[in-house]
Order: sequence, then structure tokens, then C-alpha cells
Amino acid sequence: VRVLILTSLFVVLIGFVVLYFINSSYSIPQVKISQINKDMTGKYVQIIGKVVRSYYKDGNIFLEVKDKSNSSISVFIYKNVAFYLPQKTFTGKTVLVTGIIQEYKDDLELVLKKPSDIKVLE
Amino acid sequence: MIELLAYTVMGMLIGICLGLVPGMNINNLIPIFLSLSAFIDSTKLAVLVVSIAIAEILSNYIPSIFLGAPESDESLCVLPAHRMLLEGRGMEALKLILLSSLISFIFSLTLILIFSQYFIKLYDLTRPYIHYAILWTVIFLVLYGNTAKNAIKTALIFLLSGFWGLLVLNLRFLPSDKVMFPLLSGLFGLSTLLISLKEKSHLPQQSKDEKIKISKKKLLIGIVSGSIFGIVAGFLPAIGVSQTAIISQAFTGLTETRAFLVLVSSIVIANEIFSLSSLYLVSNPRSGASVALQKLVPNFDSNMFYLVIGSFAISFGFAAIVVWFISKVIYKKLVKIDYEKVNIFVILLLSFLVFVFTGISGLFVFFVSGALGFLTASIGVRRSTCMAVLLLPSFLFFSGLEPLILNAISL
Repeated sequence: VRVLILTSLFVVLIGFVVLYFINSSYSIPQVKISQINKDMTGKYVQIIGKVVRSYYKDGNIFLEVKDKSNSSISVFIYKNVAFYLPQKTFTGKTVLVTGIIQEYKDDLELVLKKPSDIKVLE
Repeated sequence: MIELLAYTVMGMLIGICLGLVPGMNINNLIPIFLSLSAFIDSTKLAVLVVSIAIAEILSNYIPSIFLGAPESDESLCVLPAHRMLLEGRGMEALKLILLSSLISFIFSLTLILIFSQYFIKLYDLTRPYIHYAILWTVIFLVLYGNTAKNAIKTALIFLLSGFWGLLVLNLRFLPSDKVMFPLLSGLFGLSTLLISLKEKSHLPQQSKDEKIKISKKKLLIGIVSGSIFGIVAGFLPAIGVSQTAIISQAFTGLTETRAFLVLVSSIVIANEIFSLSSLYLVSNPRSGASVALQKLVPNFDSNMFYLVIGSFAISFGFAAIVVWFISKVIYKKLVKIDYEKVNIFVILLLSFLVFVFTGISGLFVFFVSGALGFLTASIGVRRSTCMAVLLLPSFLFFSGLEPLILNAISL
């Protein structure tokens, strides 16, 4: 029994470390907004674009980001994440956004998980 | 109408077959049902899913009792039911569970229909404080009924499972909705099968006397409190049947084997009905089946709710009768079947399904989760502690700490 316990503990710890490093070394694909479609729901992507509209309501931040492909997508920053951001409005800024593609009321949007998922480039 | 009835009966039969295979549950088949929605009407599929869900719950009591191989929700039924089996009272245990489930179904559905409007208000009122409820539940689960040494072991498993859940649910290359399948199947399905393989249990001869030996008072207290606790637990994200059973046992003092079985089986049914009704009341699915329903029928209105409850009731009634009769046949067959081969077959089948739906990374999550579940049971910690894979991320989300923690550990 002791051997089984130690083996399963070993598998768990090694599994933990391996998965953590695979996840850390995985580079999230950078895509054009025009490439984003419903089949990508649930996946992480990165986009670079200009914030054409931004508003702050009930602690949540809503952005509309447009990129060089001339397509735009909504970016939703939940209040738990928005709370830790030093700025609440982004209109006119070029941003690098990392988020999960989600479907909301028949539209696709990008949802941020943590504050470092949005970087102001200029 | 006849078509819907046919789908209900088909669902019941699929559910019964699914419940009989240890480690298999409706969550494993949800991707298939969702892909079928391109060819079959969503309402019919919704009826099929609900009928499978309830029939599976009932028929899974057979492997739970006779093989000691439960689903995660029913894991707490295993010890008392298996104890009764070893005393030759396995059929009485099954009869007691079916009876409690049936009465709990009627009672909890009545409660939900009467108080549904208050549930919406209560749901909105409690949202900002959910993380406190989760925190107190965790503290209670770690400390209740444990020696100091066991409490430390439970706390360590809780943290290990919690951070495993946090990592797995935030993988950049595997969507969180897909990863639930390998995660939960590994923790509760694979680990159960591994334990069964390790223990190599055999089936004792059963008594011909199947009369239920519990007082009416205890039966009533068990069903009423189980139904109420099952509904209350529905408000708390990530708090499952096992955690609710431990808390309600402490409140009601129902520790005797038969009374505890009544309590747990009532919680299972009340929780399942609440999961379906919360989809209609607050658009918040709480079980695998209700997640599938939400995807199949995005506008889940009152008509759909009553249709689903109707199918649930029909499937429940027939499944209870079928399960009772086939349990007698299966019991006789089980004596002759090699359990080891059945378990190995199910492990291979689950691994294949995980690989098909989630790829090699999902398979990795499946095996590590299986090892974690196995480790938990092997060191004498309740396997429901592994639900920390959902409890810790839920706690962090509702407390607002999730972004901070994800940043801190670079996830």
C-alpha cells in the first residue's frame, strides 16, 4: 500500500510540474480579429488593435477593439479584473489583449482572466 | 407527443445501461449529444438527456452497492450500502434508496414549485456572500469527524486538488469546458476503478428477506432534511452532494447506516431537480445534464421546464421499476463475471473517450487526476475532498481574488 501511495503521490507531483511548465511555455496564438469565429469559442487568443470605444460600468470595463483587418470585437473586463487595473478607460490606445473567446448573445467577445492580460502599447 | 415519449423511454434505457458501467456517466456523452443537435430536434434531445440523467442516477446504485464503484455524487452511499451488502442486505439497501429517491422527488419538486419565486430573490441576495459560504463549508469538511492527523491530511489534499483544479481550468491550450471531462472522470471514475482493481472484492450471498428495516420517523426525517439540504446546496457553486451529506449528517444526527442512505439518496435527487430548475429560474446550470440542456435549448422557458420535469418523472418511475428487477438478475450474473476484466475494459474505454474528445493533453489530465483520487482514498481521506478542484477556483472567483492569484502564479 505504501508503494502505491508513494507512486500516486509521485505521479501527481510530476504531473503538476510538467503541466505547469507546458502551460507556461505555450505561446498563445496572435490572430487577426477577422479570423475569430465561433469554432474558436473557449480558446485563448491574442489580438493587437486600437480601442475605438471604451466604457466603465458597475466596476466592469467594456472595450471595442479594431485591428488592421478593419474588424472589431468586444472585450469584456470583469470587475474582479478591472479592480486591479490602474486605468479604467482605454479609448484611442493601442492594446495587446489576451483573452478567452466567448459567445454572448450571439456575438463573440474576448474575456480577460487577469490584469496582465491587457497591455497598452502606445 | 408520442415521439417525445419514445425519446424519454430511449433515454431511460440508455441511462440505465450507462449507470451500470462503473466510471461512465452522462457527462462522458454530452459532446455526442451536442453534435447530434445538427440532426435531431433540440427539444427531443433535451428530453433524452434528462431521461438519461435520472435513469443513470438510479441504475448507478447497482454498481455502487454490488461493486463498490459509485459516481462522485453517490460515493458516500458506498460505505453504508456496501456494509449492508456484506451483511447480506444489499437488496434492502437498494429498495431503501429507490423508495427514498421516489418520495424525495415528489417532496423536493413540490418545495421548488411553491418557493421558486423566493429562490430567485434568495439567489440574487446571496451572490455577494457565496465565497463566505464556500469558505465555511471547506473549514467544516476539513475539521468534521476527523482526528487532528486526518484533518491535516484532508487540508493537504484539499490544497493539492484545489491548485490542480486552478491549473487545469486555466490551461491555455485546452478550453475549460472540455477539460472538465478528463478532470472529473479521472478524479472519481478512474480512481474508483483503480481502487476496485486493488481490492478485488467478491460478492457475498444475499438474504431473501428484502424488507426495509427503518422506522417511519427516521425515514421521514431523512427524506425531508435530505431534500431541503439538497436544495439549499444548489445555491452554492461547487458544493456537491457529498459535502452536503456530511454537513446534513452533522445537523440531523442521522449516522445510522439506513438513515444515512435515506439522507444521501434524498440529497442526490433534490440536487438534481434543483439543477434543472435553476436553469429555468436563474439561467444557471448546475449539473452536467443541465449544462447540456442550456446548450441545446438556450431559451429555457417555463414550457420547456415542465416538459423536462415530465420526462424526468416518467423516466424516474419506469427506471425505478426496471432497476429493481434487473438488479436481481444482475446480482446473479455478477457472481459469475470477472470484475477485474470489467474494470480494465472500462478504464480503456474511458481513456479512449478522453483521447477522442480532448486529445493527448486531456489524457494526461485524466491520468494525473486519477492518481490524485487514488492517493486521496489510499491515505484515508474522503474522496469528496477532491471537489476542491472546483471549490478553490470558485472561492477565488467569488471573493475577487482569482485575477490576483492567477497573476501571482503566472497562469
